[in-house]
Amino acid sequence: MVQKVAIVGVGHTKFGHHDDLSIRELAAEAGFAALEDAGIANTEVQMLSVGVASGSMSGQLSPAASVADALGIAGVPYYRSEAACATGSAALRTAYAHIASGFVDIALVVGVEVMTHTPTKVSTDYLAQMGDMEWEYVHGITFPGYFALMASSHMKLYGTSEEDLALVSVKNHKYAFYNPYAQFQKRISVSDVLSSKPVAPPLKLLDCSPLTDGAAAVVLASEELARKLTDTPVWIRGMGVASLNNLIAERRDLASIPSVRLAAKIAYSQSGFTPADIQIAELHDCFTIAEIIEYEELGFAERGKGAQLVREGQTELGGKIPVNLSGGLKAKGHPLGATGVSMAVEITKQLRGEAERGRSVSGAQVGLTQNMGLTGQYSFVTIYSR
Amino acid sequence: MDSQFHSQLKTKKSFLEGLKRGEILFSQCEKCSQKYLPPREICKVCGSKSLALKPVDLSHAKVVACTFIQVPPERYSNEEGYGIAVVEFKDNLRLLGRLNTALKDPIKIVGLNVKVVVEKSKPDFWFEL
Repeated sequence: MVQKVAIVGVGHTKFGHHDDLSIRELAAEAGFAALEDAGIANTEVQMLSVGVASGSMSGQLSPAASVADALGIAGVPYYRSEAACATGSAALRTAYAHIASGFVDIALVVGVEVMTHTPTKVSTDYLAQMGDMEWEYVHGITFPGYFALMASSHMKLYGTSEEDLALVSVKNHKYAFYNPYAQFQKRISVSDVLSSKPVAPPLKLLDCSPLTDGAAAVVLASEELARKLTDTPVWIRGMGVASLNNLIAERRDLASIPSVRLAAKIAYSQSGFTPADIQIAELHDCFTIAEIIEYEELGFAERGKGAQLVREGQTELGGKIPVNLSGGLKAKGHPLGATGVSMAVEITKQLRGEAERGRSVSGAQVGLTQNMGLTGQYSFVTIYSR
Repeated sequence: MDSQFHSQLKTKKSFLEGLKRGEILFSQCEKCSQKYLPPREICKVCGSKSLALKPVDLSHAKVVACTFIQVPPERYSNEEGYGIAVVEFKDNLRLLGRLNTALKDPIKIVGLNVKVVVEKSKPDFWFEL
């Protein structure tokens, strides 16, 4: 039998440049905040699930032991999950499965990454090494490059424009302005995006999420324990996980990400909700084109019509489906291992009515997060309700 | 252009042997006829491990996606602005590689035909507009 699982505590560090903080220190800050929010002690944690995508960037390989040590947790199971940019969701899934299966009643999930402690070119190389070393990395392709290939295909097929991509970035910066944890709390314009430095045309600097240091944490509990701990549990109603073939050249359609559609189908089916029921969503806007394709895969827009949604303002606050009111990966920041957990923190805050003024959906009951690794090789879609 | 490949895997080694003969090799399942480029050692459709290596017909090569890397990784930091394209051959076979072109607009390049250059001596391959 699968037990119900709720989020009962959340914690988050400021996202940005933390030159003086290690992953150990960032993880502890977010982890302690989540434990305090849940009202439990470190000694009550029955399982610690750690998300860190890259050992290379922090220099701390096998980081789960270090994170556990910083939190004063030992004896109970702890280990790291990894799924590139969806690492945080993989760590969440690990803890969720421990509770749903009845192995444990309460677990702490901590996602953390440092990405600015190495020079940008070196970090870019470490990220590029997540692509296939034999068939893709050898040609010098980077992650902005992969998503630029997808953008070129979507633009050619459906007429999506560089202005459309810019609108996603402008929207997400607009809401990051109100998020005290965001890396870029400033508004930008379409012309700022269009005139920013080309990184991998058609993508420019302001189409790309930044390199970020930061951590996020959540406490998950079984139904029985959740009801004892809090009056405002946020229930995980569905969690779809799917994958996609690795090599770009083997994909038939570069303007789509089928694993997102598949993960969403599973999450909708488990939860009983449909796209029309979702009142707020956090999507994986690692690059602006990704958010547009995801609208289509999640059923918020028809195939090829993702750009229309952002053009009409339907993904703004007050629109049909507000997306990335946290600022998204683009403006809140994207510390790989933390991102999936940060999305869960954000939806929890929104459903509890605790999101900051200017970016909160009042009375929201149902939220969705979509987090993916690489170009969709790893896909997670999670649906939450009050 | 970098042609240092790391792998000792049979498919990669065979692919490089093919380049030395001036050929781009794909693999085809001998049971269900499914074709794979890059070549692979097990069929994803029927599970068969009997796949034969065959040369791709390079007479038709069309760009399906394209970009230019302006911020290269450390390893390629002596280069900048190099083109990357996914190119489609006959039978829906596709391959990712470098693209040499004077035209720098990805959206205008998508849909155009390219020439496949195989440099036997390196061995390496790239596309040219």
